[in-house]
Amino acid sequence: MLFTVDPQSDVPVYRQLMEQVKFLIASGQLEPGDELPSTRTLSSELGVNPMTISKAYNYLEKDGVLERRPGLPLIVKALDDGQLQVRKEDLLRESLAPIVDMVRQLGIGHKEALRILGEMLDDAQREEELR
Amino acid sequence: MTEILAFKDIHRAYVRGVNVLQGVSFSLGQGEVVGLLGKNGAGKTTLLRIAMGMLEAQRGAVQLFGLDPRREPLAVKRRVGYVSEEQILPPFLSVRAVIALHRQLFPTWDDDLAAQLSARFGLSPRAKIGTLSKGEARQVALLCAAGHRPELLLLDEPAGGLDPVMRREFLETAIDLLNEGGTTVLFSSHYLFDVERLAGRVVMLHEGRVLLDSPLDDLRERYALALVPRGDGVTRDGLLALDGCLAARERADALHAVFQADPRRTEALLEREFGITGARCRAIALEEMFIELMGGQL
Amino acid sequence: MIPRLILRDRAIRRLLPWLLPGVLFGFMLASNQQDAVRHGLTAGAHGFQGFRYVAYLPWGAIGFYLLYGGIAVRCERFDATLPIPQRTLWLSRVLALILSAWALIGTMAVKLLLRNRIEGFEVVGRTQVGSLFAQLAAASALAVVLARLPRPALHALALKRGTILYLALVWAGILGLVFLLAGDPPGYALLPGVAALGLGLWIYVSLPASSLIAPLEPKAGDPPAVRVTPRKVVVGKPIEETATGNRWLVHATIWRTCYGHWAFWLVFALFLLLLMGVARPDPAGNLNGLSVFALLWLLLSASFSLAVSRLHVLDPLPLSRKRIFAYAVLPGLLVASLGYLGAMVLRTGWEHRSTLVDYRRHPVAGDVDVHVPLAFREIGWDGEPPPVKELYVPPWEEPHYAWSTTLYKGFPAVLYSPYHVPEGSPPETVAEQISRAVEAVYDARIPAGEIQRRYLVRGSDGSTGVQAGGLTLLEDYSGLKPTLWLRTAPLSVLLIGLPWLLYLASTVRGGYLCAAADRRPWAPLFLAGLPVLYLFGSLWSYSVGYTTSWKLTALAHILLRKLSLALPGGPIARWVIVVVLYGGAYLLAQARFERIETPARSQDGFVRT
Repeated sequence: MLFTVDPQSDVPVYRQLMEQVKFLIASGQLEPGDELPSTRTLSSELGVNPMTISKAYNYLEKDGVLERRPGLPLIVKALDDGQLQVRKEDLLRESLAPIVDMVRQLGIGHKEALRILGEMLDDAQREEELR
Repeated sequence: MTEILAFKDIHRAYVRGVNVLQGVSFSLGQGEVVGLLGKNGAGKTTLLRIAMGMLEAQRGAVQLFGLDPRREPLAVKRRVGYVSEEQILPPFLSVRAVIALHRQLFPTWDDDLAAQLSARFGLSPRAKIGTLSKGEARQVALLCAAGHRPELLLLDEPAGGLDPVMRREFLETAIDLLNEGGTTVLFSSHYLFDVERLAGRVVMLHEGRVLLDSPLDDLRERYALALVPRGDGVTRDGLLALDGCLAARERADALHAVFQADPRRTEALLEREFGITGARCRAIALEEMFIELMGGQL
Repeated sequence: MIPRLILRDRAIRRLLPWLLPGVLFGFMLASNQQDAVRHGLTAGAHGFQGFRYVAYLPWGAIGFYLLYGGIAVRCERFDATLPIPQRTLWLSRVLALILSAWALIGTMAVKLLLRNRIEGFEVVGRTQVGSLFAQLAAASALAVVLARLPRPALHALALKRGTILYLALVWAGILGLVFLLAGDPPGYALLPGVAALGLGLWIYVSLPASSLIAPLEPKAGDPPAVRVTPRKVVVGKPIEETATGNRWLVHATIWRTCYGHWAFWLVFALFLLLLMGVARPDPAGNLNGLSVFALLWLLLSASFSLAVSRLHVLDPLPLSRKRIFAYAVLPGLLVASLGYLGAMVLRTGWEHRSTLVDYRRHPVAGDVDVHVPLAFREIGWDGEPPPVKELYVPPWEEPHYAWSTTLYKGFPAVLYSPYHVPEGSPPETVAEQISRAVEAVYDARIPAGEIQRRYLVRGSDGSTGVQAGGLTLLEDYSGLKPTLWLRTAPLSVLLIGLPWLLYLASTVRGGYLCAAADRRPWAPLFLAGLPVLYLFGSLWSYSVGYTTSWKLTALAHILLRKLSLALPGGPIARWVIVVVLYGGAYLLAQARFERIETPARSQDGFVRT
């Protein structure tokens, strides 16, 4: 799988990595038990300090997303469906937070915003069915 | 954790009255990678030379591995790798000869690593250093500095004047060396893109003092840049007087200010103090931070 | 460790290319003195007494080389970053410098002693040569150690005014020491030698563990040029001063760019040193020897190369190449001409006071003869000097062939004196020859009879001798002024620069100066090719005995005289021709120069950019 990081972004690299791992898990591209690339490989590939990778992995482990096995690469921790759902919702909430700000700043009403959201979701679904 | 490198209150002047360093203190723990930033003439090279024992501080002390580099230069130099921006390798020696020289002088020389790096850089062993391009010569210097697996790497603008491909090469080599194991690195650079990738912590020197000494991630998360439109009775001094404001600059259309607080809190602060709602606050990238801090102190 | 460091040392690395020219200087100038001594041409400076006076020449060469080899540098930056003990670095540097100086001295000594062997007799005694060179060797050691005395912990002493003054004092002081002690038994060299050892040991022991790039105490400086001022909002102001505000600024910029490097002033000092050295008043009169012109050519090339090495700084500016060429060429020519003319003036002054025509015993050859300056000898191209009878036929004389010597082994040409008088000639012959000599040298007529009456006396065995009081022509006849120098002056002046300018025009081409881009350090030597060839050729000829330096000098003098006398026109016309020829050559070289490419910066070379 491919990770990309942008060192110049506002978001620290380790956090970008964490979000990407969480997203991959939530969207099913990373399944429980899958191995993650070693710190060494990933730091070489991405061109960042290995400590950054370690940091991301450590936080992910603390958050219960990854599991450490002695002498073996990190793997994705098994989750039950309930936990997975919570994860997905958390991710969605994070992504939506700036949008909420924008809605408020633009002064668009709740109902208006929800209507627009609904329309966009419908359009996306239709496109996918056509394909 | 034992400190690998410690600067304590370093003062250094070349010409009386002009202090290049006025009380610089910071230290590096094992495995840390620290980027030393500062404008030209801020004292980065001076600091690195003091660390190598080539200069003496008029006040203050420096210790590497707990040793004084001026009293015990051999013990220190054997564990340190140094790359300077100026090309000080003897131009008449061949690459092979320089490597052989280092092999002799450093008991911890690792031939495999040297061969690996040599192959990676594509250096021809017979070439004389004087005939190499700047980038290639710098690569040789890096090879010589890293080949003996030093505990501390001191790099003075290692990528200065190199093309982007070479710079990326350097970066990747440095990362590989870090992966190899536990080297502490102090490097000065103007290429903040590289610093953002490589450094875990950043020390900014300005006018001889440490202006900022912070982990890089903290910079993104705990600092904010506020763009305040002019008018409404907001002045530069007013901003500077606020608690947590590190620097403020007047620009044509707005005032730029750096706060030691995340963007939300900064917005709240500004609203509270000045009643401003139109200020834009966001996280700040390293290069912008540099410019705001170094330009804003005037 | 130390031998390897020494091999890497810059003083040793630079030695080989300098060994040959360095020896050239020392040898040629010291051997001039040998010649003068040998032919009894130096009044009062016989044997070793005079030899010591030239100590400043080899010492100057050694001093110059030590400076070039970095006498003020205590250790290289590269070595300072390596885990090598500071004392080791210091010692290897000191040894390298001393060894390089001794190498120079050794070659000079060998060459001089070789001269002795070739000449077949000891012109200068072996012990005396040994003594001088032992002194020089000890002196070099002392100079190197003394250069380490100020601030021993520093990497290198910056070559600022204070340092240069100190080094110059060391050089001059030690020269005085050498002068005093040379000539005494070689054991006296122990004095500076022991001083060097003791001082060196003391510095060695008190060296700190590591060296410093800059001194600990900050120097009292001018207030910083840049002060951080609060930024003010600046509205654009129109530039009111016109471009010609400061005309001298452009001149000064070009001048300092070309000649700001200290090496230039050293080169020019060498100019003057050499010219003074060769202009010492002695009838060997080497001022017109080809070697002098060859040396002037070399030094012109050196100053030109130095100036042109800075071309990459000036080229981007809107300055015409013509102007830059003027700066690169004219100062050298000017100094060469002035130096040469000055030396000529001094010489002429001396000549007015000294006895150019004399009848005395040759100190080495032993026979009594009429002596005239070298320029008034003659060359018999076909090997047969005309018999004296053909030059002058006194009725009572048998034909007698003038004494002659082969100019160059293997060639028929011979050198002879047309005023030669055979051993045992009667006073009438001698008087005739002296009269003719006076006419040639002074352009004045003194009847032979008068000379015979006033100065000559017939000895008991029929030979002619001079009366007590000697041949005092100058005192007795006022108005005796040698005229040759004035006549040869235009040609001499032409020789200073014209061949060089023409050679410059032919070698300065698009590719020539780009040799620096290939990092070939001998590129400037390319310009100096011919004189180097000549100098080495002549040196070699002396070494194997094919000829001697005074013979070649005589050849040059004679040719110069003949050519000058053959030139038509009065003095003004001659000088006009000189000016025209110079102008033509200059313009030609300038036209070539305008088209060359800028030489690339050389990263490491004689002149550091």
